[in-house]
Amino acid sequence: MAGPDMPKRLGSELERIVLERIASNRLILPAMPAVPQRCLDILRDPDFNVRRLVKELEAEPVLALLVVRAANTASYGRSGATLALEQAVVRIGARHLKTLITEYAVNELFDSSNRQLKDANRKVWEHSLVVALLARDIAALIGNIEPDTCYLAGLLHDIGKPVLAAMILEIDRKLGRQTPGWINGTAWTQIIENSHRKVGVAVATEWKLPDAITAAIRDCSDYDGADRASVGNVVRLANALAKREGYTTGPIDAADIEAMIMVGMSMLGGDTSVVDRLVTGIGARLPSAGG
Amino acid sequence: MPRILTIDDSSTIRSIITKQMSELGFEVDHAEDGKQGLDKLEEASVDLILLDVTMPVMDGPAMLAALRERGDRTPVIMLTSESKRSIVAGAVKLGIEDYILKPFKPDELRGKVMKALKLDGSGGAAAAGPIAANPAVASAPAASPSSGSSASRQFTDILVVDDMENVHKKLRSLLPAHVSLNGCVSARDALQHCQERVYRVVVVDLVIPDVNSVALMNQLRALQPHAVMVALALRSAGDVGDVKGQGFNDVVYKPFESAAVDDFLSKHFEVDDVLSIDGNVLQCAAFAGKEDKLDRYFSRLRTLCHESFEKLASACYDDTILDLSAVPLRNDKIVRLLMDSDKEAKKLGIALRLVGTPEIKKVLSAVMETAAMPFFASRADAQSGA
Repeated sequence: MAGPDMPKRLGSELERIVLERIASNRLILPAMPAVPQRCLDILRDPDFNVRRLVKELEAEPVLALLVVRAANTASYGRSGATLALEQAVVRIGARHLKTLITEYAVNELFDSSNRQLKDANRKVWEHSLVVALLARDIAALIGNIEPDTCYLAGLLHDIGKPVLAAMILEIDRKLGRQTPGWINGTAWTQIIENSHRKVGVAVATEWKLPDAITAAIRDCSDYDGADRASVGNVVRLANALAKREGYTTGPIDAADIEAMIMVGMSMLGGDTSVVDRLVTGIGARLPSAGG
Repeated sequence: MPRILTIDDSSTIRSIITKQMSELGFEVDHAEDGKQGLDKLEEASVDLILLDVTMPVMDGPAMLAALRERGDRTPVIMLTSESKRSIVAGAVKLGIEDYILKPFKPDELRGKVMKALKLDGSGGAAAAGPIAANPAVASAPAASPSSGSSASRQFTDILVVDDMENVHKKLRSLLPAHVSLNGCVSARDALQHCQERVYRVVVVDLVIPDVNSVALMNQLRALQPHAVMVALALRSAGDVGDVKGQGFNDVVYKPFESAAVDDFLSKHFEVDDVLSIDGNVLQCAAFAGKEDKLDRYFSRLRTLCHESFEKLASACYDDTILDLSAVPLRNDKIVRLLMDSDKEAKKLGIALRLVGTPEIKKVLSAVMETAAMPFFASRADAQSGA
């Protein structure tokens, strides 16, 4: 019969296994969905073939629709007739297309057939989306840093969480039959908090994401004083601002969050009053579909 | 006059802070470590402490803990090269007002000090507002000689000390709207104003009943060491050299002449218009000054945009074209200008269309709040709505 410390011991053991597999490159990670992967491969060529890309996008109608919808927004100066897919691809350009396609692929990772996990993932997704929006705004305000990269880094900074949660769920399915209650909610959360960054880095590497994004996922504890205007620092500030606004996935330490905001604002510069106003209105900017 | 204690083991940092804070008219004392800082605070209280983290003898966090332990709640801004979250979070728990990472820009230090002292217009020691050029701009912040942030309200361009109120009104009527002015009729009022605000130019009448104007000017100079002291005299007052010999930097004669006021403005203020109006088109002028005047340029642009919208609304225009082509590329300042302007224009029922360079478009497109604003490559495109 399982003792009272069984969940803790099994949780620690699971964490050890995950970390060991990451270290030895044996962790089975979710592959990027096929169509987005092929689209991103095409976009890696600076002189990419538009027709080839359109053909790939047509195989994924939802993604194609997202591209057309994005190209017809005011951000791309549209006010006239709706653009067709090929025109939309040309108008958006390679850099924004990469962001859009990666976002679409990432969204898939947050889906789950398990209701409990789906709910937990929705919270992480909402937090990530707020961090992404704020990171993009902050980058645009301070200049000299690519807003789209910051957006993606913000969106992906917690990508290890749903991946790790899905892994634990899978183990739970197998182990739970023999040892019911082998892991409790606290241990579950602890494993994810302790290890999600390493899993996130592994996913980013597997998906061949830019180094700046991988670095932003990896180093989140403290600001990098050597490179003030880095993608990682922008995401750290955006992450703290999002948490202060209540877009968080767990309990927070208010003093710690305030410290992160103070340091970030001073490190990155920019106008505090503008940032505060952007943060205040962030809820209204979230897609009602929840991403 | 607010008193500031800077505690830092670097003499260079202490000198930089002393210089910048003195320019704002603050009195600055300093200490080389936490223990010395505590000793100084035993002797006299201050309004604000600028505290380093890593110091010999007693470091910043230990000093802050000791300070709070003995019940001293003096506001503290941590000014340090330490960015470790655990250390800063510890300081937040002990109650710090703000944080500045070294190396820092003068603007950041000035803005955070003014905010901590509640001298940024958010409350506290703010003095009476400046005399507005016209009622339409009465609520607009005073243009600042050195800051484009919310701290600008604390700065006023001119203080006029004359027992005749009509003198204040006459001078006000000859100044452009963006130059702010306060008036006072007695020496006591003048001293009070100079304790509460920062002035660029102080104009003192040479004949005020029961007041030695030269002595008053010297007292005001002590409170406003970086203000230009201008004597206000009758034409019969005699030689300019005599007046300057008494310690004034300049002299202005009354009754005022338009040309003389223009000359006064060109000596002490930037008078080039940063925004011109042609029909419903607002054209932003290029910025030609030094980098440290950039905040002032954007601050004036914001003020003038708001005033122009009011004029356009009064003339029944329901749309306007704001031509940003010549505006220097400063991302956060442009975004703030547009966020403020869009809000003001909407309040008045005016639709805003923008014209500018692809670089400016890129900046605005990247920020959600400004991304959807109608943007055109040329005025012709904006006029045709293409």
